[in-house]
Amino acid sequence: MSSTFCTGKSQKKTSDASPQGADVKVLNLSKWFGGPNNRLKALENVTMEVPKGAFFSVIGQSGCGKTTLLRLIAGLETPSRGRIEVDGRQVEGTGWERGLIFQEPRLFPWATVEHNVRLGLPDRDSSVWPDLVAELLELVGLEGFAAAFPRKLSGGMAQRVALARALASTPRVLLLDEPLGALDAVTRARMQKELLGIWHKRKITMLAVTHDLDEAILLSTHIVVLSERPGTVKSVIPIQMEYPRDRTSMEFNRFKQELVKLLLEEVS
Amino acid sequence: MDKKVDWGWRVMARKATLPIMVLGIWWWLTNVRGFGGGILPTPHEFTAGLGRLITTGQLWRHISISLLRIGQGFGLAAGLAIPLGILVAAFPIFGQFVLPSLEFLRQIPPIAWIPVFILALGIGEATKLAVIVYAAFFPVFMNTILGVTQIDQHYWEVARLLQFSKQETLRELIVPGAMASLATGIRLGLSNSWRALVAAEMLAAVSGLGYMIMSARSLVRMDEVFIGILVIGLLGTAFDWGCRVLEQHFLYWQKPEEDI
Repeated sequence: MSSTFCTGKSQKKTSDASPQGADVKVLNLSKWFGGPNNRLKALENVTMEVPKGAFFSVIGQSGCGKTTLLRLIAGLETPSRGRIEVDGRQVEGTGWERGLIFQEPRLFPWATVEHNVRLGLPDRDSSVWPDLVAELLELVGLEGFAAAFPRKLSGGMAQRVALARALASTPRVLLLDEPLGALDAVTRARMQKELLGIWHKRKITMLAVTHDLDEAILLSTHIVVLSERPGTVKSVIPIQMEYPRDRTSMEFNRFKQELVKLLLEEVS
Repeated sequence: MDKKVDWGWRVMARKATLPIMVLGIWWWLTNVRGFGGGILPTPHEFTAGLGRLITTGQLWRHISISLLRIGQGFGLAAGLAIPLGILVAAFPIFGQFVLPSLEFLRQIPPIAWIPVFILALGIGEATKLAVIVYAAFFPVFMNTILGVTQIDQHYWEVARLLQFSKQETLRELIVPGAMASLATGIRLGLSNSWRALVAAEMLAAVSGLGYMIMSARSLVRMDEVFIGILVIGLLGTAFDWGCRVLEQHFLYWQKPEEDI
C-alpha cells in the first residue's frame, strides 16, 4: 500500500522499463459515432506520442474531437480503429494508471469531500486510507474541508477535490478535459499555478484539452493542434520556455501568434 | 420536497382555520339545530364513545392490529419492489419482460382483487397482507426505477473510472442516487397501502380499524364509526409526516433549493 504514494520511486523504476520514453502512444486512432447511415466522424488517423513527464495540451476548435480523444485514452470510449498504449500496454477500458478530470467536478453530492477522495483510492478499505486522503487534501489545499459536502464548495474548491480524487490512485497519466474552463479568472490563474506545482512535485504525465491558448502556453511542454472535424493532428509545437512562464513576455506572445495562425489557417 | 415546517402563529392559525370551522359547524348542527338523529353523533357522544373505546382497550387493539399488518405488508412490498426496481433499471432487457405486465396490473385497484384473494387465501391474515403488498408495491417499484434511471450519466462514468465493483456501484451510486425518488415512492406506497388495508379490513376481517368501523355501523354506533374515520386519518397523516422526517434525515446532503 505504501507504494501507492511514492510517485517518485515508481517513476524512476518505470523510466528504465520503457526505452522509447513514451507514456501515451496513440496510433492511427479513428473514432466515429452513430450507425452506417448517419456516421459522425470525430477523429481520423490521430497519431501522437506523449513522453513521460511531459505536459501536453491539445487545442483545436470546438467539435474537433479533443474531448473524444481524451475519453478514448481514459477508456470511456472504444476506438473505431487504431489503438492507444499507455506505458507499453494497450488501453482497454478504464484503469488506475490513467486519471481523468472532467470539465465538471462530478463529485458525488451525497458523500463528504473526504469520502469522495477516498473513492479514488484503489484500496479504499486499507487501514491507512484516512492518512492517504488527508495527504491528498493537503496537496490541493483543502485540509479543513474533509467533512464538507460538495454543495458547500465553490467551483474551484470542488475541482480541487476532483483533482485529489484523480491523484489518489497515483496515475502515470493525468487527463484533463478543460478542468478550469468553468472557473473565474482569478481562481483559474491560481489553479493553473497549483496544477504546475503538482506536476512538478509528482512528475505525472499530463494531457490536457483546452481552448484557452494562454493556458496551453503557460502550462505545456508541447501543444498539439487538432484540425477541424474529423480531428487529425495538424502539428505538435514544443514550447521551449522556462517555468514559471510570463504571459506578457515576447516569447510567450510569439508562441501565441504561431498558434493563432495555425488555428486560423484552418478556417480559411 | 417541502421546506421546514413553519411554526409561526400566523401560519398555524391559517392551518387551524378549517378544522375549527368544521368542529364549530358540527357542534352547531348537532346541539343547536338538533340535526343528526342517529347519523351524526354529538360532540358529547363522540368523546364518551372515544373514552369507552380507550378504556376498554378496544381502540388500541384495532390500531395495533392494523399497524402490524401495515408493517408486515409494507416491509414485504418494499423488500420486493426496491430490488426488483433496481434490477429493471439496471438491466433494461429484464424490464422488457416484466414491465408491460406490471403496467397492466398497476391499473387494477387492490380492492378489486379481494374476492380472488379471499377465495385463494381465505379470510385470514394472508388476504390483508396480499392487499397491502399489492397496493404498496407499485409506487415503490415505479419510483425506484425512476430514481435509478434518473442518476446522471456523468456519475456512471465516474464509477467506471474509479473501478467500482458491483457492490460499490450499488452502495456508493445507485442507492444514494435514487434515494430522493425512493423516498417519494415509499411515502406514496405507505399511503396507498394504508387506504387499501382499511378497505380490506372492512370486507374481510374480524379485527383492525376497518373492521371496527364496519361492526360499529351494523350496531348503528355512529360515534364509533366517526372515531374510526378520525383515527385512520390521523395515523395516515402521521405516516406521511414520519416519512418526511426520515426523508430529510437521509437526504441531508441536498439543498432545499435543489429539489424539484
